[in-house]
Amino acid sequence: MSAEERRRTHIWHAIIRSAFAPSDAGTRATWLTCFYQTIPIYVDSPVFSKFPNQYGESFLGEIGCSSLDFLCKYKIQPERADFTMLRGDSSEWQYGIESSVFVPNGRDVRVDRASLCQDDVDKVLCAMITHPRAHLHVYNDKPRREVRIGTGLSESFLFLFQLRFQLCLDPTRRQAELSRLTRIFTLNWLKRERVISPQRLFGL
Amino acid sequence: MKRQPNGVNFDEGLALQTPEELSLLYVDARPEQIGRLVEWYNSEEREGLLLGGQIGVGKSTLLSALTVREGCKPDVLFAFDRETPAFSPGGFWGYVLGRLVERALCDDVAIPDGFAPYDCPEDKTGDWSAVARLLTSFPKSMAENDRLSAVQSHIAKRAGLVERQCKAILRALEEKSGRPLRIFCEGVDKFAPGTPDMQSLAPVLDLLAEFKTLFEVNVVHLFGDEWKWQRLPRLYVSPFEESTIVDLLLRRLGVYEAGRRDVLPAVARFSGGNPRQALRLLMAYDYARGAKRMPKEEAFGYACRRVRDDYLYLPFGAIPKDIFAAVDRDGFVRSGLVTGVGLLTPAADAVYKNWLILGPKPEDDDKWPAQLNPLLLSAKLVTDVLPESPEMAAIKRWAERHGVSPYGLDFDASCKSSAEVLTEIASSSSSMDVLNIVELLDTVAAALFSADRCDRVLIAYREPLVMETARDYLVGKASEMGFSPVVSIDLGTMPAGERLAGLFAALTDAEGHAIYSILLPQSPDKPFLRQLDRRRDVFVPYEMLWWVRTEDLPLCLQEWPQLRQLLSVYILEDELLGSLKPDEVQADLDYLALLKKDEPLHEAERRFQHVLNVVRERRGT
Repeated sequence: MSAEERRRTHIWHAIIRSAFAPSDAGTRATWLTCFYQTIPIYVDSPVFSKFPNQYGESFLGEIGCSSLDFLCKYKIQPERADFTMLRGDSSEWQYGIESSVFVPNGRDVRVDRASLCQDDVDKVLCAMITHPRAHLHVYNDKPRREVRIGTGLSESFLFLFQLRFQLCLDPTRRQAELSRLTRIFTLNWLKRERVISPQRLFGL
Repeated sequence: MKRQPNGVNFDEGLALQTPEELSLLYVDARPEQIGRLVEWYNSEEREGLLLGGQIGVGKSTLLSALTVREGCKPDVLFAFDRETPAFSPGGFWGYVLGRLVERALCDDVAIPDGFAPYDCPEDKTGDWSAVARLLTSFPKSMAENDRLSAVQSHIAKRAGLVERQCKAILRALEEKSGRPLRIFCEGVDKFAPGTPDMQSLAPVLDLLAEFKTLFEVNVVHLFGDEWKWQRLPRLYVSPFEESTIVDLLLRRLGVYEAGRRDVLPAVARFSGGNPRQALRLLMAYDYARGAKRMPKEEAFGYACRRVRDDYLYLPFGAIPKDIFAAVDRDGFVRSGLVTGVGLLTPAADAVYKNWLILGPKPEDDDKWPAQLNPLLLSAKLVTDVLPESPEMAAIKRWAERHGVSPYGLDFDASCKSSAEVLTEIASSSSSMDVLNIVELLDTVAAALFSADRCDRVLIAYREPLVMETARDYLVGKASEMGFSPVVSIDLGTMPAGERLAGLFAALTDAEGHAIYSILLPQSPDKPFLRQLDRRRDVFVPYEMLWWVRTEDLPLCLQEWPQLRQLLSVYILEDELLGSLKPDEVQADLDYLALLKKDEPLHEAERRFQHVLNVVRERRGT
């Protein structure tokens, strides 16, 4: 692993730990509430077929964008998560995250914090949210291929966050959202790695 | 309304108003009409002009283009539909006097003798600006309402005096500015000919017709000559070409157009060139495809049915079948059939309600090109000449299946008896969506809980308990989404004469943070419903849920040719228990229990708890 790869791996895990890994049911519910509250602000023609709900330890809900003929049903539990994505008349695919069998692609690595730079953070945010390295196109029947669903498959809350980002095609809003995130995840923040509250993460 | 520069901009077909809206969404497809309006505006001639078109054709947007894009701003603006506190002779004269006084005070023009502040009951100050404010604003309290009513009846008794006073103010203003005043009268189109409200308004319009006044009217007003103002030069706003409708919809879709582009020719065809009808069709189609995940052909049928039910309500007993058949056969309507003194003729009524769509103004004034609204036609007739594409093939399959017209009305079948036609209408009208509480939430959530939109939903119910439960459930979800406050207004508890004032007094949040839940009284009286209809545009800035008893729904839709265009209508299923299960409501409460609660979340909790209690009680658990 190169020095650059080590730095970025560390940042990746730091961001996940502090913003996308709500630890208990209360934080998870708060995270999902904030998530839902920003959907109509950020996503065009949003679909709310089901609001977040709690059944025992499971959180269930649906989000989508009618102008993209896209709907995602999710079920998040402490040990696993299931996502079913529905597209158009017939496309439907489903995947699950089972933490008991899933091995994250690499563990956090130690780095010299002084070597971290903002460009690394920006690149990680891009690879997490805006242009995932591995992704599926929702909108692949036209020259435009802007919806990329991918990275975050291993982290259910990150998955929801990047899905929300991808369901907005407006480049201006996307850029504004990315700029907002880069103001949250700064080098200063990395020094202490404080937990990012859902309210702050979603700009509420 | 907040607009997204690159995103989807859906609404119920509201007029574009701001520079931002016009720059994003306006299609400059009426250069001749704009040119004529600018020419009229710049002319020194003191001559009025009627700007007329059918509902939803784009008159108000054209006026915005004139004022915002062309910079042709009025010296005095009257918005009779939105701003007049009461649709009575005293209300209209008082409103005009109030607006003119405001302008005179602004221009430092002395108010001529006539009605005086001291004529107002309880007025001790002699302050003209306070009186002008009173005459041009909706009362904020019952006491203010009583005071305003007293002033208006005083003005009505002295209408001749007030008329002379208004005329004198207008002349003084013209003298001061050294040119004819440009007066714009918006919202005259909301007052159908022959109605009592129009009888009250017409003398005021006659006065203004003596000046350089632009009147926004419905096309049916262009056919009459009963009043002086109706004899002014006319500028007709015709439906758009289909290609223009496609351009307009592409702008509404922004960067999402690729997924809908192929269906737009069909939407344009079924719109009849009416931009509001087109937008409503596209929204309904978008919802059916995206949220309901219907196949293309089924989604298009759903859109046509929904828009027809919301937008073109057909009362069973009032279908001018002979006129429809003649227009369908001839392709025109005789002007003489639309013209009339007093109440609208059946043909004029069909034009006013957009059942008939008039084409471009003919050379021969007697034969005006017209067609049946495509949503009332056999679907197959409308789709016959659509271009070929996979989307069109799907829509044509739908049309083939429904060629005999369960969605449209096959007036071509001349052998049908009127009873058969009415049976067909009755069976097709019953297709309005009947939803249980959860389905209702799914359907209205995207519009109701959007921070950028202000939609109005009309929900008909049979069982008060089911309605109350649905209301609590929707309000609970809205509170969970952070919408606060939800303002409940029960018009049935207000004295009949005070309902309108009570409603307007409660509408205080134009920023869109609140949701208004308005319960209509049982068996509402027609005058009240008509008042609401004329004041349609007052409701534009507000997020609203209207609740009405199922048996009162036909009356509302019949009396709301204007208001129903800004409403989506649903019927609430009677059955409560099939919809909500205690464990589902408990799941909502469990979820809320995890959250640190602010006031909206407390409200959500209270509402869900009430819903849970009702559901448990009904189940006997």
